Amino acid sequence: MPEWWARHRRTRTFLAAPSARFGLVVLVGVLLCALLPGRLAPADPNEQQLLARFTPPATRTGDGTLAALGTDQLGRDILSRVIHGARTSVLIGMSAVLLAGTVGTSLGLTAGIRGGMSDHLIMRLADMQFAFPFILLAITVIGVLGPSIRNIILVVGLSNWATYARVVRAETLAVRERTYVDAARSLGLSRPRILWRHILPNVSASLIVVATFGVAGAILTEAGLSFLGLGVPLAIPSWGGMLAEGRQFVDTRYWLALFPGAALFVTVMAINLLGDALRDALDPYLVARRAVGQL
Amino acid sequence: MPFAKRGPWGAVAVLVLLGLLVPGAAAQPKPVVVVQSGEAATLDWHMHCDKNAHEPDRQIFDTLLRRDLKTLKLEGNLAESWRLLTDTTWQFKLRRGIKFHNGEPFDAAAVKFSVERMLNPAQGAPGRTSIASIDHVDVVDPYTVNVVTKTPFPLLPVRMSPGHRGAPAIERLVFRPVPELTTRVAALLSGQADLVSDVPPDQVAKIKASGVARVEVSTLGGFVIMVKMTNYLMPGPWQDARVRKAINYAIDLDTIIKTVLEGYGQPLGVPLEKEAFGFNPAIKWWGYDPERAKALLREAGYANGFELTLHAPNRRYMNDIEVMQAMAAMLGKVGIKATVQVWEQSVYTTKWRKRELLPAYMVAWGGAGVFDGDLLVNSLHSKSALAIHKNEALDKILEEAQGTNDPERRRALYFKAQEIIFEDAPIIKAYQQAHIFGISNRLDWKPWIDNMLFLYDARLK
Repeated sequence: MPEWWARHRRTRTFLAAPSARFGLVVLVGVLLCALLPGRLAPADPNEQQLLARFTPPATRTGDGTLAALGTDQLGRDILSRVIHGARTSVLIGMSAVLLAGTVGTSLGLTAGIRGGMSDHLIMRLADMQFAFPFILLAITVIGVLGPSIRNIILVVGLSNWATYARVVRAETLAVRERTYVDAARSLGLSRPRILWRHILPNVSASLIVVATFGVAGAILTEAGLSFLGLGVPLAIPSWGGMLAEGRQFVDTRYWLALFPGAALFVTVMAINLLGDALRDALDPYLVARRAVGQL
Repeated sequence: MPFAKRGPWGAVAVLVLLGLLVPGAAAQPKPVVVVQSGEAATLDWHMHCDKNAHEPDRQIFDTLLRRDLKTLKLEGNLAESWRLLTDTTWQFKLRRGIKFHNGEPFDAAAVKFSVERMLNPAQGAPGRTSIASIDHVDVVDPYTVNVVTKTPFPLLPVRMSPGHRGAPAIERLVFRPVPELTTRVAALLSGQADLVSDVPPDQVAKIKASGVARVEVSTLGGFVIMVKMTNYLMPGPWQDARVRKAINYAIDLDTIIKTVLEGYGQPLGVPLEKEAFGFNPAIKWWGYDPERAKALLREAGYANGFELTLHAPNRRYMNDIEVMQAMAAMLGKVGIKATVQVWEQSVYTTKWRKRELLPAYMVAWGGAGVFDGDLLVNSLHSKSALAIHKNEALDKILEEAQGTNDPERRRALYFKAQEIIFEDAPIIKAYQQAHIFGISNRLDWKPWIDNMLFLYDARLK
């Protein structure tokens, strides 16, 4: 066993779980689709073959091309659309979490380190955010700004910051009392430097876990919004949009909704399994107990 | 369209037909249930242009004249007879012995009240423009009424007759809103509904195979659907008639109808039914000719194409989003980068009223059983509701036709109007959508000529 492997106890714990390995494999696949959809997809996702509409899965269309997952109501290749849809999901999932995470973490850190009035203000803002119905916010914002990928990221991102703010604030409150923070302070380090170098790294474990689940949540939200017709424009393939289009045919042409639905399900499950495993690996208590058990 | 003059609800009082009192309609165990796409906002016949409200309204209100279903000719209904006294005066003789449900007699005063109520601008009736040529109504005697128009108004009898009367055999009729298409069909197949309109084509086979319900298709008098284009409200290539024609030549409407609508429609070219008075059969409407489209674009200076936004309603017409997407893809083949923007129903209607669906949007007209070139006024006159295109020559001809009583002259004017439309291309294609009804096997009913649900003659088997 190489030395680095022995040293990376957390990585070992993480990869020990079969569910984590499954999640990882699926996610690598989804990321590949998101990065290189043009290479992986057999056809242009928006190319219509009106005469070959509703081709069932695993049959050849009139011109001899194989429609592995069938074609939809406009004769577009569903496999290609599912692959291109991964890009939409990953883009929105990651960007929304990045936005929510950045805003939430900054506010959480500020609240935790400064305390007092700013803490009070930020946390009450977070309470308001939690109390506000999301769909109402989404309909208002999308209705005013119009449906586009950017606006969806904005809506999903800005409606989820409060979770990050709460988690980061709680962790900050605990970390700021540690002796190494006292030591840094007595050395005369500036507050931003203490935050950046000594507090943030120590709250990042929880942050990573929350963010992982956040990606899954954001992907589902995008699908939900697209399903309601508030999502990405028609010209951009998305799993939620495909589900919405396929819904009308769900009892007569099952494949229109089945495959994007399955892609969504498997991806979100993979992320959640990964998140679970990450939490286990990053929880010092659990890791220590496992290490003892192994001895 | 008579209303009662008084009553607990004033003008919204309901006219119950004598037919309702005819004995023989035995007690029925279960009411006949009609499911619709949405709820009626009002049942005041004058105050809406909404299909969901027209459907229950048609069962309640009655009209002066009606159309014979076979010949499409007008015949007396609440009026016994009618004739033209002068160029601008129509006289109606009313049927005697008809009462409103509150016992008030139906007479000339009721007709006067009803017409003038709709005519009053303060009332704000959305359909006012269709009878705006009427100046006033004179009561000659209790059963004779003169309708006086400002200018000759040949279409007046048609405007007085969008309905039909019969003896209803069904005792209780329930209208229930079910917004989801597939749920409406499911309700029919599970016996919770007896009549479903706007069945999507892909559900037809399922209904046919169910054994509990059947499908009836009515093709005549359906919605005429078109995509309107502006030539003055928004700057862009679409201001050039050659570009608008190119767009029309680039779209293979026959294939769209054959595939996306599964054959439940027919291409028209102009927003006028082929059966309508004044339809010009000589014009070969823009067919599918991508080479010609490209040539026209080159000629207009847009050889490299341009970007075009097509605004689509969300499930207002049969497979509307798919039709627009198919059009957009075909435009892409001649270099026009078209994107389809779908709006949620209420947003679409709001933007539509504010003329914000630019440069092009999908809309339907017709279905009122008018069958006359006058329909072109509703859809293409620049002052008509929701118009975004302006052509003064066309406006003038349509106005002249509206004020002409001589049928041959009118026909000639409508022929000319269609020639102008062909050169000006104010729309992207026009097609007629068939209407598909799902009908429970326990219900004996056939769709009416104008696609409106009209259930007086329906009976349970």
